[in-house]
Amino acid sequence: MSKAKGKKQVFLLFIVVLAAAIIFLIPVAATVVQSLQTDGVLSLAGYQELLLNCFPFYQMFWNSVLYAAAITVGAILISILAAFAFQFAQFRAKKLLYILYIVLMMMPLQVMVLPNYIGLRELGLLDTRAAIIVPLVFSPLGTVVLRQYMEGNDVQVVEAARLETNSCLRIMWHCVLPQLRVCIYAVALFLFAEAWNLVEQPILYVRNDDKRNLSIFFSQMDQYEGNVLYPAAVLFMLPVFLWYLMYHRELKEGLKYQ
Amino acid sequence: MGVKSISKKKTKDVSAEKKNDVSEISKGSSGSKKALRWNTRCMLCLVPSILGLIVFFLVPFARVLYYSVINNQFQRKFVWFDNYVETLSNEFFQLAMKNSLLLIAVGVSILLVLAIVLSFLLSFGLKKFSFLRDAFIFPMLVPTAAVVLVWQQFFSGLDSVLPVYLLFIWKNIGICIILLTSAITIISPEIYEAARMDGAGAMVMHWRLTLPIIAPAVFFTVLLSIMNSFRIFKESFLYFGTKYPPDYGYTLQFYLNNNFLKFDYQTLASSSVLTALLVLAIVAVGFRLQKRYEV
Repeated sequence: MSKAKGKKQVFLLFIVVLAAAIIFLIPVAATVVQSLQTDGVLSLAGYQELLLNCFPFYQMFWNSVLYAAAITVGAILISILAAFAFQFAQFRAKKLLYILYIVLMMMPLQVMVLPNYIGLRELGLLDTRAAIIVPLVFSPLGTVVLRQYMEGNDVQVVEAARLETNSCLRIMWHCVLPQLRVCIYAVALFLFAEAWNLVEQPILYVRNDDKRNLSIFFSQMDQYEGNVLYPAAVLFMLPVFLWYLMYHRELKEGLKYQ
Repeated sequence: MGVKSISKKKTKDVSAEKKNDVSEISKGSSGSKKALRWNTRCMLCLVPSILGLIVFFLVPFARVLYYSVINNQFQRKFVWFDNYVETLSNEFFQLAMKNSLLLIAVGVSILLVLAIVLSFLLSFGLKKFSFLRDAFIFPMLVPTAAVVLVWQQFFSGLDSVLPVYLLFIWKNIGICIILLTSAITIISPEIYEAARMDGAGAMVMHWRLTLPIIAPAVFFTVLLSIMNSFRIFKESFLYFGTKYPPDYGYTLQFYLNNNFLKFDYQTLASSSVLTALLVLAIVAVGFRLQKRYEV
């Protein structure tokens, strides 16, 4: 009796959560559906128009790829090095420095915009592609997450390896990176998704659209004619979606330890 | 050979124990000399990251602090807290602050309750259907700009801040569910056995047992969500499609951004510092609370 009641309850809950899940997927699904229609009729005219006649799209798509790739690779390299140092080096103000990293990680972008802008101006990097890439390469998020994850790692391997070599890079490559693999994938996906989604920096640090990324394309929607925006949105989602599928398992595993 | 390497390892362990005392290491045996060199090498790994932080964050931030206490770029007269007073009494700053705090109070609360309910359901009652979790995690990876079009179409004509809140929840629930679920998965099932024996119902059990156990994760999730609520600019800027949204949508980020575009450094500097202080206060309170709760 009570078992049947429990089953019914589970079923009802399932329906509610399923409905919520469907609602959460609607925005993406609607974008795809919209991209495939022109004036209510199924057609690929939007894609055709976008790919053949909309020149800014290519330029901005390419910028998005360049920024996301450069930021992800750069930030991962620097974060791995820094996280390794935090884990294995001993120095006086280590804890304080780590807290500083955490605080900087928590700072909203708008607080850092003026400092970043000043730094870029001094270096003569304003209005270049580097202005968007370089500050983000040094964002402390990767360092903090990787270090947090490293704390749960096996230190014995590193201790053993130190008998053989004194080279940080070799130890990192052979003993630390294999253990970090999952976490690196997750952090890389995170960084990529964030960099792919950049809005503020391209508006503020560069002056012309030829150096801006695809996010900005959508903030100027009234400039484009025909149904090019929805197809552009679909193509814009695609890279992150593909990456997500590839590292689906790794991401979930990796974040378990955050 | 084997013995030698073991003894070597021992010296290293000892020197590692005295890690904080640099002088101790430097005058030690050859083993600790090696340890010192290793230490130096490790520290070198930190150099690129630190240099970047100094050039792009720390030195410029010191300058922002300086800008916030001078009258303008040319005279550079020291004016104490005049800029701060001016910023705090500015009606746009007040409006922006009000809207930002409202988002934290309302948006983050709804987000959190939803995330907790969904994580619990998909980890316990509906464990068989945990694949549904992906539907909630997925939005976090979708670039905001790509879904804003749909949002504008859905909510066209609706003159309210609701769509931005929904976008915020839609985008941020994924990371909350991931964090909460990973905390739930490491709870040992035996705890529940005992509770069930005592005849506790599911609701009572999770309220009294699961929630307190994952309290640290909940705190971290709250903190992160508050931080993410400070990043709402991207969503609202794209949604409203303008630098001057309606009053209800005007948050601190718009305020800072628009002052940036006006090159009003003094206002911008003081409001940046104020926002930074607000964030620092939230982080400090968060960590303090977490510590108290853990004990």
